[in-house]
Amino acid sequence: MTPHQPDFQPPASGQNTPAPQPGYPVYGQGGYGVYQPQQQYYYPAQGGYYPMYPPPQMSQKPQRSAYRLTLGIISVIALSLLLLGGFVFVAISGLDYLTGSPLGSAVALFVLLITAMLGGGGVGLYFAIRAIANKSSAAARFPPFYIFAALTVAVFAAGFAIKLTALPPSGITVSLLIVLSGVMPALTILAFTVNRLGNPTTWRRLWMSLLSGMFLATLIALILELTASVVLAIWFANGPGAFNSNILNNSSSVLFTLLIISVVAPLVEEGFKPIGPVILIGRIRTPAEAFALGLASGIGFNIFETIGYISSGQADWIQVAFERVGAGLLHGVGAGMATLGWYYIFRGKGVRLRALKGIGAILYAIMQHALFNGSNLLGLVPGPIGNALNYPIYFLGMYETTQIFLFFGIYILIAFMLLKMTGALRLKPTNKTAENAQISAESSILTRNA
Amino acid sequence: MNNYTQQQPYPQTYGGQPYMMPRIQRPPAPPAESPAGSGKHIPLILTIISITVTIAAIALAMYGSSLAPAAPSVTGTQIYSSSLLVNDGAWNFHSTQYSQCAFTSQGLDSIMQQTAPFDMASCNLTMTISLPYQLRVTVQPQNILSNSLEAAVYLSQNIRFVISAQGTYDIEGLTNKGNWVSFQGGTSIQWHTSGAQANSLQFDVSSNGFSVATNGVITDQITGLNFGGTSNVGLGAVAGVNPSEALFTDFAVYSQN
Repeated sequence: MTPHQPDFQPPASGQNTPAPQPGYPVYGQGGYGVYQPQQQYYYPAQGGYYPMYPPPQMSQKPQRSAYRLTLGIISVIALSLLLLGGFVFVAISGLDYLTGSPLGSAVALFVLLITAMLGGGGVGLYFAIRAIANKSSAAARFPPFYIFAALTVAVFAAGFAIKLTALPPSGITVSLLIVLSGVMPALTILAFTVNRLGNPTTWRRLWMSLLSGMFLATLIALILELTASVVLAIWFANGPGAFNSNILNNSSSVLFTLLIISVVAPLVEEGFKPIGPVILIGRIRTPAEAFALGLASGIGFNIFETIGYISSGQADWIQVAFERVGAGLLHGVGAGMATLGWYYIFRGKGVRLRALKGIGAILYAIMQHALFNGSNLLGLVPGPIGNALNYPIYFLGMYETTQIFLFFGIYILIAFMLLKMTGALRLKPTNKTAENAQISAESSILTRNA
Repeated sequence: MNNYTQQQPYPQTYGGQPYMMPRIQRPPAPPAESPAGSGKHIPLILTIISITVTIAAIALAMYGSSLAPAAPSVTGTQIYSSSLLVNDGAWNFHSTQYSQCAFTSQGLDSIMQQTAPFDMASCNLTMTISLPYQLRVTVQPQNILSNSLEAAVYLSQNIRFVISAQGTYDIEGLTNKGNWVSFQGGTSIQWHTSGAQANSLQFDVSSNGFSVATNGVITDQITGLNFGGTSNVGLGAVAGVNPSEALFTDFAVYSQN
């Protein structure tokens, strides 16, 4: 007999004695990201002694949350509609093919929609059904971001090679390359962020956020921006005067365009891009997760919008793709910051100056978007600024102006912001052992709670 | 009777204090969680899918490029050619309160303020061309225009080809009521939309239809039309919501008779 195994007998009967339980994991359960060993040890419940010390906690099956169940059911309905929409697009595309009217590079948008609706919606439906069934989801881990960066380079190299050396292929044969020219840069940013933050969320949440940005946020933004455009157009007709947003050759046209792209678009888009993560805000556990989910939502929005732009480029699609290669930074970091702001406002109890931080993060997202969009009009400024931005340059078969350097300068600034934010928010293990423990803990907890 | 009274006392291992909570060692950590269900293979799967799809997309685009139908080469006799930078007297201007046509230093400029019934070409070539023939013209880009680019090439008095700055085109016919209706249309992936690059159009017209090529690649073709034996060709702009404009250069016609 060892000193630690008292030799006493359990009551024979009539006692409400908990059954011996298997050993409990030693990793923290009360929140992931920090290694938290169990503070309350229990006496090993081996046969032959009475568990008179604090009994081990029962290994509990995750409780079904009504909130989660409701969200799951809504998601199943919404994603089923998305799948249905995908089939409708297949039918439309088939009809278009049969009637023989070419779509040009716009066929890429159809390819994206069909792929995202059927593939993305299908995966989303799988996640939603598993959520209803109280099944777990694994921690989201991406391949290293440089793999996507290398594939981005490959896609753009092929695009430029076709533009410079070959006849433009038909829309259908180039459509996949067009889609990838929008998707690969976006995945680079998403992979970099999620991995650098220490994989703070699950595939289910990430996927749902991506889909919400791609379909829900774009739909709301489209409706609101169109409505605002109509209202402004009516106001302009009665006030500032006639305008043509395609030809910015008078003050009314410039003012109208400025209001749309630098006021309406930032407010609407930064307001609604994080709609998916904000719905989940009560279940988001850390600022890092809030930022990652927000960024995923923004990336979803960006993929849809960017491929919409690229697919309208026709023979110049690669030029549009090149100009928008950093658009994922704009939309992703913006939505990430906005979601972080909402997280601080709703869940930031104990955080110093939480309201200020929350509102500040949301305002940052809006201002970043407004400044980027507004910079498009700087070339109209008369004098040396306009002249400097309108100097024509020709490279890789593209006719650009020096304004392209302004856009890429802003992309670099936003990338720097992303680097700083992910550095500040990421999980920080103190040493290698703790890091390993943390990864296991995250996996364990994420699979339970997702 | 209390069962506890019959139990053996704890061994006196802690300084002789009975019933003291035994000091236990923290149980060793269990082995790491089984990777099953933790999605550890997902990054690898994502990598493989991404690389495969990228290679497939590049191969498909390259293959598609090799299949692009090139426009027919120049055949026949050149019966008219002009840079359209100067007025050579071969053009007739049909100007109304809605439309105008003028030679400028940048080309033949047509502006249409708004749509009107029986819209006609504002710039008409005076010669009559016998079929079949080939027509070539360059459309200057949006950036040098003051209005939205909507170019129209009239292949006869009641058949025209209209294309916008975005590369969206329509082949239209004139009805008896004076309205232009679309026979067929689409978007040309060969069209430069950047606003800084000119686009070339080529029409190969026969008695019952024509093919159109943009920037050297056949974009569309139509049959079932009746051109008769000769055509009057013209250039112009087509107004939409806003006034439109088209600036043409390098016009040439080749008769294939």
